[in-house]
Amino acid sequence: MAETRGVTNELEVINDKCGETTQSVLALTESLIAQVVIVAADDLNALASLHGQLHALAAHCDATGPSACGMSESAARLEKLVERIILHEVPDANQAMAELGKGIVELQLLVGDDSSAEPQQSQEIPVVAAPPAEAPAAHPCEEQTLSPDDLSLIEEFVAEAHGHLESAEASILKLEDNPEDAEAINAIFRSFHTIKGVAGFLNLKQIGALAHSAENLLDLARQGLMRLAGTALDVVLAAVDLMKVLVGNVASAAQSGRPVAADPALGTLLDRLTSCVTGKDQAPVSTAALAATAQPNRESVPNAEEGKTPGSSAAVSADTTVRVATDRLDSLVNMVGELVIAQVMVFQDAKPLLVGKHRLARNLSHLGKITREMQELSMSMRMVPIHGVFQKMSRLVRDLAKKSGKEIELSLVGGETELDRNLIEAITDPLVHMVRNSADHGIEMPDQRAQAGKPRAGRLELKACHHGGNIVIEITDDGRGLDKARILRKAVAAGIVAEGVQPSEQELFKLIFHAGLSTAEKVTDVSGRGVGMDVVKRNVEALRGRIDITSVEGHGATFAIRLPLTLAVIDGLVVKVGAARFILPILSVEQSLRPKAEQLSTIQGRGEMCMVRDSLLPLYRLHRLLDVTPTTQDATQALVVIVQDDSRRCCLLVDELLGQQQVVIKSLGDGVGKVRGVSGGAILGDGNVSLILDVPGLIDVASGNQG
Amino acid sequence: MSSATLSNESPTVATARGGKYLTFALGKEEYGLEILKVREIIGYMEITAVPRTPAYVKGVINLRGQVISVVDLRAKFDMPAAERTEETCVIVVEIKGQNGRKLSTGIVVDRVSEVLNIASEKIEEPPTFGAAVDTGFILGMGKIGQSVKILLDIDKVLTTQETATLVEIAAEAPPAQT
Repeated sequence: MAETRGVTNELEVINDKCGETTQSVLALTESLIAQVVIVAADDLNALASLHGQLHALAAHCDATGPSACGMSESAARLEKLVERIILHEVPDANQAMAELGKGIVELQLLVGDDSSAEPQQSQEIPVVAAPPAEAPAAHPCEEQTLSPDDLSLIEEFVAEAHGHLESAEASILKLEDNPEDAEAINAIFRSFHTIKGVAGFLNLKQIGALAHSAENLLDLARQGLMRLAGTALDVVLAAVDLMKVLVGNVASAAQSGRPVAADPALGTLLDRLTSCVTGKDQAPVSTAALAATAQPNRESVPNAEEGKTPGSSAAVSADTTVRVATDRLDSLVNMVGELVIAQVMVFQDAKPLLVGKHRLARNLSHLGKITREMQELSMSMRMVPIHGVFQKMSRLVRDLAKKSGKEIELSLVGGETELDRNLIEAITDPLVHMVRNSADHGIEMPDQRAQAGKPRAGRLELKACHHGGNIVIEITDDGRGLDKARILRKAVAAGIVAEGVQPSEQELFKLIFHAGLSTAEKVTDVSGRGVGMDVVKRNVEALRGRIDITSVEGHGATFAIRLPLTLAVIDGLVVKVGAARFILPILSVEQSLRPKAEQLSTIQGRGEMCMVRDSLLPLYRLHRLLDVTPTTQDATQALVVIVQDDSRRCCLLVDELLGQQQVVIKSLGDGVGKVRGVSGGAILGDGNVSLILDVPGLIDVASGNQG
Repeated sequence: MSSATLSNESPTVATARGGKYLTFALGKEEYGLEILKVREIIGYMEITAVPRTPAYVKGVINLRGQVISVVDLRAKFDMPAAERTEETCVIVVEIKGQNGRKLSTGIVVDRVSEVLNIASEKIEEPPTFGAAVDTGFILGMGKIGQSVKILLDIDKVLTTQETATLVEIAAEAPPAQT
């Protein structure tokens, strides 16, 4: 290190030396940071070594020339400070140590500025993308190319890291409620530690650096030297967020084969982590100041996360699990379905042969049992608890509350409720919208709440439960509820409702799902742009679900999302029309009956009606809607199935009921696409495909409704 | 019938269009499909009709647990419908949808003939007939001895305008594949 003191006159050599110097300065500051974290005010040996290094640093900076003038000065100042600490000349040793930490961080920034300001240095050391606030790993901000040999390992790492980060996030939220929760701190520490280990192995420098810094901070908390609360916790959370982004970057880089993009946010966050570590003994005032300066960074972090890692919804890895690609699982389910069909066919073929052959009969029934169990098992493999999604929501609510200055208590009920993985993925976005909506529009500011005689903290409840073959997710808030008058006013202004018409309460509530209708007075970045709720409704309906709203003005609102348990299986009523078989979802079937002549009537000789228990329902002939030839045109020889969709009920005329059956829904394939009135296909016991009818769509078609 | 003539051809370097083709018949016309697009050939089975689809969409079938659509190539080409015979079969092809997704589709043909190696210099540009006959989905005309095979660009055949809109709609449909 001392060789840089020899200054020569030759330009080239100076350039060379400059690069070298910057490098050694970097190395020096790094080791300083590492030391200042562990050094205690009464540890003379350590202080002495710090002193020596600061001295060396000042000397280096002098040698580098005028550009490093500021650095050499602050290094000299810090050197003095250490001297005074050693000599007990400071009134408060702890405060002095904190100052020292801050000074070193500043110094580090200076080094960063300096190194990025020197153009010639790019030849000597890799390009530094952002002002590097160096953690012990060198130059974490540089772009980095992944080794192709590591790709499969990296893929594994990405999936694993997402799991770790999610459990870390959950622990952080736990910690927020109870800062003394040692187990939670340990869990977060372990997550970062594992990530660091693997990142080191895979040579992912950015991730390694971040994990290392976060680990330093967490280690202090683990040893009880620091309380993980307030700013410190925010920083850790920001670290989790940024880590997600970094992991996302690595994943996309691994896919595209491009080098890993450097993330400019890394530098600032590393700074914040380090300042949290070094400022562990800082007075509360300065912590608050730190939080204030840190605030601008905070905004950018969640945004970056949203933009870069949309699909980071890896399930929480709880027990011993194996990750399987979904298409493999899908084809397993397909194959098992086919196995069941084949088994049934064999069984039917063998039936006549079974007389007197007990062995064969027994084996066949055993085979049947195994196949059925296999089918159930293969279906259940897709089921995951909704817990993970809820966890995301609690994070979301926390951020929203912080941003808007509201106090929100979130309670999660029924997180263990299981539903189909596809469904979980599909429901996350609508749920985010709904929770945002409740937190932003529903819950009032604390002062407003106090005025209304409610507790200052708003309550938001997320509840999931099974309800009659469906899953119901309820979002309840005790906020201001839906303002019916305002919704109506807006709807009339937007021309959605004609003036002078008074819609029913339910109709009014449904209006909030109308595109372009936002009742928020001002547009915030959270919600109120008038998009969102209509998308929510569309998404939920695409999942064969629906949303019910109940609300009492001034007392809150409940949004209940009702969804099928799985996208894959429905209970169906198999009906026969002519030669074709169709499946009606049993959930929309009310009853079936053979109509008597006196129940039937027509309007203008065409529109057929059927009187069922004193209500007059339109009668649609399924064979006309589906273009098949029926066995009989006489309605009294056929059967009527009464179906309902929300408030709409109607009768469908079919030839025959074949029975009730659980069927696996298959898309009709892209070649056919979406057909109105048909929601998919199902493979029946004989291996043939039969169409699953979509009752709302059918009613729309039959009633000439184009919407 | 023409394989004898084929074997006399000197093997040439396959260019973009030259290569192996599965040939099949629709009426008296012989068509060819790039062999790499063909997944399998299955016997004609019961096809479940789907209402409110274009006439050339015959319906859907169960291909080992996967529901795939079946297109009647005769209807697609505006040719008169034919009687179903023992030889009628379904060729399952894998095509690229509009959004880049691979999708399997069955096509009903009168009869499958053979696999031919057609050199690129034996393939001519499709003639133009004005608006009367759409030649947009013809890769070229393969000359095998005296006979001519119409080589189809099956991706284009199955994703012309009508199917394209359907695929777009399907992309918005719920992911209910299993």
